[in-house]
Amino acid sequence: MTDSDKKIKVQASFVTKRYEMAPTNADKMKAALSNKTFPSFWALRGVSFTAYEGETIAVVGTNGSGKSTLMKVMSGIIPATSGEMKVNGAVSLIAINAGLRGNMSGRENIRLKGLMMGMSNQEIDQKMDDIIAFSELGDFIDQQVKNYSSGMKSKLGFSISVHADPDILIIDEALSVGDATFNRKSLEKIREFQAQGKTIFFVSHDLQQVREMADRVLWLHFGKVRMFGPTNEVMDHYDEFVNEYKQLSQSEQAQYRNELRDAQEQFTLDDLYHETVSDVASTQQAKQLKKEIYYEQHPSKMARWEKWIIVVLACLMILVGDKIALNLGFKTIVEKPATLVTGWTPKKLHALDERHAKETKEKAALHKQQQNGKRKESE
Amino acid sequence: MRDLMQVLQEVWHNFPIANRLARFNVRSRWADNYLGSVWDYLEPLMYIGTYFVVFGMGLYNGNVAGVPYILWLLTGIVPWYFIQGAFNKGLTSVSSQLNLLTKTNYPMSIAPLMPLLEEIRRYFVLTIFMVMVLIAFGYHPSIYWIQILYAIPCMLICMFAIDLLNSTLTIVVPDYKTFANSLFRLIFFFSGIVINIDAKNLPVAVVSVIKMMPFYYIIQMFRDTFLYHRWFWQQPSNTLFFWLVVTLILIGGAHLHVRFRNRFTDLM
Repeated sequence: MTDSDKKIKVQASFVTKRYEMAPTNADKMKAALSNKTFPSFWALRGVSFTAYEGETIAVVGTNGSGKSTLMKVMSGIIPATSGEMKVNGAVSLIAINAGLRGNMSGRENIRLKGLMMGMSNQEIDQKMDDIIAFSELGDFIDQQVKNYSSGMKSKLGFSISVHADPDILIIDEALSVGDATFNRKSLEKIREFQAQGKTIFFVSHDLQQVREMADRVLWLHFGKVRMFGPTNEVMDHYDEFVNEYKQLSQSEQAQYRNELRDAQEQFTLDDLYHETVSDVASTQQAKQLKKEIYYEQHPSKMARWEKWIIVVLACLMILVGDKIALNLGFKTIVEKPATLVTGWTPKKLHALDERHAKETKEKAALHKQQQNGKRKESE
Repeated sequence: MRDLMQVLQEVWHNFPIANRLARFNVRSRWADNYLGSVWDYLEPLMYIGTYFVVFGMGLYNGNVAGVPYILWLLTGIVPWYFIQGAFNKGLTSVSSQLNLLTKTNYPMSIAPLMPLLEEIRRYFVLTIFMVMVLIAFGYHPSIYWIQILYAIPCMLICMFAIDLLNSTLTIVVPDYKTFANSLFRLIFFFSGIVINIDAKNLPVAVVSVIKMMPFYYIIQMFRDTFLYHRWFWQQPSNTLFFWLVVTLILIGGAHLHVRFRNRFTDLM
């Protein structure tokens, strides 16, 4: 079967993720609202790849190479800064203690996550026993999650996620947190998914596991794709790199890391464009490339007609509010529109108070009269 | 405007899941207490009793604005408890659900809806209690009671609009939550729940401005329905003003929500 026959499940084109290195949340906000810029750090620098249905793809790389960020962008937890991530199907992310609530019991967490994944209460009831059995938590299932050990938490998270029947499964370093027996069981479950033809992404530092499980490997290197291809080919190169890196002295390692970090801070989209544009021949392709690289999901802006409607409504609101506050009749406004403004002078306001006091008095007197009349009648 | 349409569509399509989550939240909130959800009702009743003693008997001698104080208080405070609950939960509705909602395919816009769904059951139970007290005092159901079908939607739409706006602002502006909480405590006294604004020697313009506030309008609708037997079209200016304010809050809230929702996780 060739690639073109298979269904594309995930397609990333020039995905970048920039983090603003603003000291506080308030500063982050300022950066979002105005054009104020802080030093940025590009966790992803133009990642492109295509994953097909039924593939198992391992994501490898050193710490800080952007693996977790990529997984988060893929599962829709964080948006990409530019570029596009197309995902066809329901995604289930399994990360260490992902989305568990500490003040609830394990059982309640199962229900909550199930509801969040779109299961009905009946479906959850049906699957509840399976999930609890798989998690190996036993009686602890009715304890609050905050009392769980980290192993228990990840077991629970893993059990819930794999029972949700996702299309695309993303496992972020969650395969190696349980003990040996649980890990074997998880791997079996993953194999089951593979047999069912599901698409699986997994992040792992266990290179042996990667060689066993993956069809293809995506090697991320400081925010860029260093290699993407068949498992053995990529892993051989990766092993080579790791060995070379290990042989460097401590200071050389630090220097290497710092250089790449600097590159991640200095990166711009223009750099990415210039790097890639040299590979294409025609100007048309270059244009298309430009479009893809600078693709950004622009925050929605109001159209002019929308702004006009808001202005009209706001003016109307002020007008009506003014009318109510000054107790003006519709007739007065039409005849003397100036009263809308002149009515606010202290003198006029005082007159309004006096008129109102008089009216209330008259009303009270009238009310008394009526009551007296009624009393007389009844006598 | 287009943002508002989008939000309304999302809310409409995902109503069942919002409802299920809301019910789950209600159940889990009181799971640790012995009395469970009884607290939902015990607390308002304790406050109603206190207000009745302090204001009803102490300040107003049992009658206010031509009706027994207890009825005047009940018709106001029952919707108020809904407003208060929806307001407080609404402030944190997005930030507290963010972790869960981002990991699913449901739109974030169902978060501001959930406080309303969580509060609505208590509102209905308290309303039934209120109606029983009304009947005990000789206020029998009349044609005017139909107006509750207008008053409740007023309250729901207004609170959804406010929650939509507040839930975004809480995340975007760090100080907003504290500000809104203190403002809300003030509004309680200005909304004529326990103290009659009319009877005081305030300038007429000030009283009119207080009465224009959306919460006051909602409370007034309930009192007009049950106590004073007035229709909402008998004060057209106030009705128009209320809907103008609510529409503007809805448009603004929806725009901010759509504009910032992709960045919520970055900002938290």
